[in-house]
Amino acid sequence: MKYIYSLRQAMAELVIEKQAYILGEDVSDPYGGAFKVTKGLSAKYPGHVISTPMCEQGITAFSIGMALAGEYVIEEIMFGDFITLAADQLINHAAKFYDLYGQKLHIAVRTPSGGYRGYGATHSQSLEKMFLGIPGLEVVAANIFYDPGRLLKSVLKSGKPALFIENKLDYSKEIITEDFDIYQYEEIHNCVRISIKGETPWWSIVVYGGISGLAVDVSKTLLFDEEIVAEVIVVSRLNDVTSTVSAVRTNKVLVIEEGTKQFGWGSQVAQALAEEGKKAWHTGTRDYCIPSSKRAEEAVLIQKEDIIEYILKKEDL
Amino acid sequence: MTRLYEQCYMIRAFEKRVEEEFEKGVMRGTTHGCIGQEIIPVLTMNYVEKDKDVVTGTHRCHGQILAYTGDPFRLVSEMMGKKSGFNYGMGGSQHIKYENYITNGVTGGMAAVGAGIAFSMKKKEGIVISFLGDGGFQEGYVQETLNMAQTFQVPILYIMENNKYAMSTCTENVSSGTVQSRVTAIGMQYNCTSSENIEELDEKINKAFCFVRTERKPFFLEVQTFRLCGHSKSDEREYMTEDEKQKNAENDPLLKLKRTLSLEKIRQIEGEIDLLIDDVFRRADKEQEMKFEDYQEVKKNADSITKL
Ligand SMILES: Cc1ncc(C[n+]2csc(CCOP(=O)(O)OP(=O)(O)O)c2C)c(N)n1
Ligand SMILES: [Mg+2]
Repeated sequence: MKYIYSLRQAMAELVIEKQAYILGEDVSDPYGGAFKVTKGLSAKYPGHVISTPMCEQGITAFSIGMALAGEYVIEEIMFGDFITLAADQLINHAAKFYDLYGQKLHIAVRTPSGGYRGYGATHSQSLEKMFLGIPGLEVVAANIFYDPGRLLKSVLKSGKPALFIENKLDYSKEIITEDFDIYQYEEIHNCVRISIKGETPWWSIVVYGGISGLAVDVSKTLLFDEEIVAEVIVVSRLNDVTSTVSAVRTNKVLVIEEGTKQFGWGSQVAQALAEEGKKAWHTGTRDYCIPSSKRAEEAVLIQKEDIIEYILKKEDL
Repeated sequence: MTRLYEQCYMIRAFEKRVEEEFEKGVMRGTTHGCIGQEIIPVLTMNYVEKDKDVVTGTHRCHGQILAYTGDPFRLVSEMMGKKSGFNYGMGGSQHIKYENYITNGVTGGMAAVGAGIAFSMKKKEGIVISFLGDGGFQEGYVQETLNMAQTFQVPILYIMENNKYAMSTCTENVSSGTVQSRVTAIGMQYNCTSSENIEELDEKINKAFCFVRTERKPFFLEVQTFRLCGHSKSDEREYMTEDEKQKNAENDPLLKLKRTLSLEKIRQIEGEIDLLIDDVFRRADKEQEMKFEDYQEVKKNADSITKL
């Protein structure tokens, strides 16, 4: 099934099962959201899909209020870049209601992150790291190796307010949740482990979100071109560093992310791995605004070649 | 009227060509065309004093930039990611700063920032001209800074391009009261006009500029308009009725301008501009793409072009 359909179907099920509401800019038909994720839902479930005015902070507050009153709410923020506008409501309101008052809040704020499309500086970022380390706020990132609809449902049902990161390039991709090609597929500790069948890895690549497919691709190139065996650990729950660390089997680990390299999720995970006595490094996108020009954008965002080069540099260490 | 038609037609031809290039897959990223709304930035920019005033734009900025600079070559270069672009191809369609024109991709953000620029203008001679949309008007930060602009009495002229939609959402369906009632509730001077009556539009823009320049206080001009193209590259405007589209097309300000010109004149203007647009797109296509290594260079230069 395609990633986008999985999400759409999960939302439909949540509306049926939990009378969930879907709120966001242009989420109703005929538009169905800027990336068409909610297309068709407003026609099927009248009253449950609400196109809002353009006001991310207000929509988030409103959604949190609904959740506080017991509703299940899925909010969509059109581009991940605008999540900054919802930050106060998520961090100082929702997270506090959950952590301070022990209040269950069935709210997930869905938003697409990521670049590689030439959308430019304010429509391409991966800002989710700014929401990590906030007690009471869950940050999850969908990917093509874990049914995104299943993830959305479990997050919404948990009752912990969540930022739910999607990726623009993933919507049209098929999801993979079993062995494929040369790979063995396992679910382990909230993560997915993708390893090369019949080989024992000595490298691990830890990744989340839109570049998970890229990481798997890297492991194939490493195998065929460099005779390096690497497993890939795909993480969905970004706060859950403990599970992430425990899913890693090897002693050499590269943590990669699409967000900028500095002060990221990767540095936190690499640090935790190092504390376990592993050799761990992290890399990501260069610390610059994302240009819209194709070549410049490619140079700034993390690429397959960068990851391979990084691993080769560290192979003999 | 001849000059006006030339200016508007240049923007229209540019936007149409952009649509074609996107269809061909030559351009990437996104774009927001202003077909149908050209007259507003064109008339507005006639009153801007470039050496003193600051103009803040919106995501739908091509018309604003073309009217401000008259330079389609640098705009298309920017959109193609070429070094010859206003921002070396770094910003693309909606992230552009050139001289005292500045815009960004977060809707309504620049109208909010505009109020702060205008505060500093209290010490200077110029004023701020701040474009915004009916959708962006709903953002908290826009409402917050309208209040600040009025409270601190800063010289800013808001030009609302009210095309009645924010993407696919009809603003009327998601907002209460009127723009007028909200703006006048905080005591701000307000006027309303439409892009359909060109003389009236011009006169009201002129008056609004005069007010801000002489009184050094905020003024809000709402211009009713419509877009004759999709919100962005792939939008078929399914959310509008055929009737509405038809009616808008009939009220196209460019048709009205055309009626004041002879057939021969129209042919001459359009012929010349079509050639110009074709030429700039071809030339831009041959320009060098920006490389990452140029990026630092760009930043160094950026300091020297900041003179708001
Ligand atoms: C803060 C923010 N939210 C959402 C968007 C996505 N978006 C881009 S344009 C737009 C609609 C803007 O409507 P309006 O202000 O009326 O301007 P128009 O497009 O009609 O010119 C939306 C929702 C954005 N760019 N910024
Ligand atoms: Mg609008």
